[in-house]
Amino acid sequence: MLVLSRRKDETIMIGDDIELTIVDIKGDTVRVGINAPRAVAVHRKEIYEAIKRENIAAAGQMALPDKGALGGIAALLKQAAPPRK
Amino acid sequence: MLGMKVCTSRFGEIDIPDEKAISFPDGVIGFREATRFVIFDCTEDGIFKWLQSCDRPELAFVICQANLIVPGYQVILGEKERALLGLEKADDAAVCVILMIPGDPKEATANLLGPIIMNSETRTGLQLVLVNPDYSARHPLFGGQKGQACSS
Repeated sequence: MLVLSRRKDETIMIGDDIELTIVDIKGDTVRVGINAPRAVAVHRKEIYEAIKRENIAAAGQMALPDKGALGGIAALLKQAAPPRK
Repeated sequence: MLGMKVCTSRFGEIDIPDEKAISFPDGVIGFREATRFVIFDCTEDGIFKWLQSCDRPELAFVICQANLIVPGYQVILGEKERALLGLEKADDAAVCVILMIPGDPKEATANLLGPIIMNSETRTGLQLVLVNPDYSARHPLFGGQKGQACSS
């Protein structure tokens, strides 16, 4: 991994069109401004990891389709929030 | 009518007409190699559906429309996503969420941070990564913290 030191308001360029600017530093929190083309996806890694974890967990569940459980949820959902037309 | 046979762990071998397959060019997060899925109903009322991988027999998710879980749930699609989906009209996009259903259905959760977006016209889909801090990857369907879809 390349490690660079930057101060507040300094910027790192990645390629021709991605800029990371250190906007603010407070305690152990660094605010980073990102300028990137719209086609480049920028995510907080922990959110991506949380989705991945949930996907893996969701894919591993219900070895058999349990219509009873699903029917129960459908009934609970209808009670809780009737679908709006 | 052309079709394909899809092997599944849960439902055995199923016949799928080609036009029923949905392409996920980027796969879903954690399963990038799973690029073709089919959808069929879990329950007679059609509220819950299986999103079954055509490539991996054991890979299937239970999904439902996102606004059933959180009324008013909305996502913003960037140019890249719209292009991937070939989306021309917002109405063509189905916005769904993946459900986690443990033994007790009251403990069920929905992944609101990683919705599944599908274009019914082009039969193309993707999983989006949202940045909305109000949404959780493990949103309880019942007794949720914001009182959404809460029965009390």
